[in-house]
Amino acid sequence: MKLLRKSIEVIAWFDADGNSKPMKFKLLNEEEENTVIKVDKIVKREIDKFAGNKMMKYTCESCINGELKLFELRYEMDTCKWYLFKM
Amino acid sequence: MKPSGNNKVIMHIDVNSAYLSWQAVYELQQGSSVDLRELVAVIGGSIAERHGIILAKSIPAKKYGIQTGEVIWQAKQKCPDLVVVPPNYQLYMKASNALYELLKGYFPAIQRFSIDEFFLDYTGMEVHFGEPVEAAHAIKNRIKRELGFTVNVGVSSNKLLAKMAGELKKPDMVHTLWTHEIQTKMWPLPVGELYMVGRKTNKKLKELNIHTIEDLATADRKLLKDKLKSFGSLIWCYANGMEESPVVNGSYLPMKGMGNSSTIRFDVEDNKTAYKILLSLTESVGSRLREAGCCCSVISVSIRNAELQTYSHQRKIYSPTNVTNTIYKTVKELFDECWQGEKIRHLGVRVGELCSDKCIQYSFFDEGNLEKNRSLDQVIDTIREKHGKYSVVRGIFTDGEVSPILGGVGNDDYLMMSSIL
Repeated sequence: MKLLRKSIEVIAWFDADGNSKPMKFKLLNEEEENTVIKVDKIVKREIDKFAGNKMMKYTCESCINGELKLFELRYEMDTCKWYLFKM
Repeated sequence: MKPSGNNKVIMHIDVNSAYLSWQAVYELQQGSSVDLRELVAVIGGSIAERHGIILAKSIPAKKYGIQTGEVIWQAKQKCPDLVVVPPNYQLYMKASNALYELLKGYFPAIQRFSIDEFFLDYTGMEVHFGEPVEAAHAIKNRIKRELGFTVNVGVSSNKLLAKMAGELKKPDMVHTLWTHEIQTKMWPLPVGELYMVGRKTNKKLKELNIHTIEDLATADRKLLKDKLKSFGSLIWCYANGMEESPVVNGSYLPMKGMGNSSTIRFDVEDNKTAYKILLSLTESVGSRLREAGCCCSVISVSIRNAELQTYSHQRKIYSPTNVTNTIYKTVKELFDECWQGEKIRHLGVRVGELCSDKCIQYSFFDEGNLEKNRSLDQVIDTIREKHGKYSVVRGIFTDGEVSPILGGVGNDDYLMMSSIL
């Protein structure tokens, strides 16, 4: 996985217990077109509290252009921003 | 393991190069590939604004002889490749709060001594978390694992010794300094390492041929008291490891006064500009005063000129006040009385002799529009609280030469270091 740290638009599911789950996100591809990537599976979810800055880290798996890819999404709690952190 | 006589166990937690560690960890979290802690790096203000002093340094930077409080250009002479990162107080507050939250899981009484230092009372908690040293290791490692930065933990029987223990060797260590270890661990250190002994006291002690903490501890207490007054007695006690203050929950400190000061980007040569800066400092002091529910009876102004000489002037006023305009009027008078006309580099406004604002004795000499001014301040404070610090500013500041509210660290919740254990 390569470090990207790109701000992205995300649709996420928050359940009644406060668990969150990214469903799909929008990404600009090489031709500057929007592509929507559906999150097929969340492999791991953990919270990172480094320096007191809370971030939810999701290691996810999706099928992109017929290829199974692993990537990391992050949600920064203080700013409510989503990042495609690594892909 | 524990000392006899005193069965208290106090811990002191100190974040290693706090600002720098927090910045480094934050940048790593944000995907940076370098760790500031491994570079010759410092956290420092901006040179262009003349706030150019070093606030924190990495351990490699220490090897170059770079010191906290030093001016950045001097440090750059020592190491031309020095990495200077501007401070981010909001982040530091966040990190400090996260550490506080973590510690709250263990301790009922936590004293926040400053943004990066905590005193904890471990007395009687062995049942829950084991021997003090083991527990200290566990806490230290958990902080490192969860929050990403390293701390030093000092374990002893009082706050002073715990603090001294924490300073022994850095980073990421646990040290004990029980009373029976004072002679071997603390006494050989230079006297300047002792808490409360700063540059000036160090110099005075040198004149008395006191160079190490042992020299101080074995010195004649009466001699010290004669030379340094009650402070001499205090540091003599400290050198002997005597200190008994309890761990106070929270960060409560009896406030004796408050003030704001600022180094100015340019040298001030006329009183008009100086007034403006004083006004902006008064604005922040006034609002802090009102927020604390206090009034002041003593107002003082300090001036540092381009030759770095500092002097100040103060006055007691007829009736206690917290009205910005009234304070400013006295500030102006004081400034006129003491300024010698030279170039000014740094200005400060301080207020003292605080009392509650609940009931104030007026005097004959008060201005007539006091109540109006008071409600004006109240309205301004409310607007600023609701819409931000700069939502209402005085017209005189619209040229942008001087910030409308000067002083402070830009964060109201920021915890300042104190000198009272």
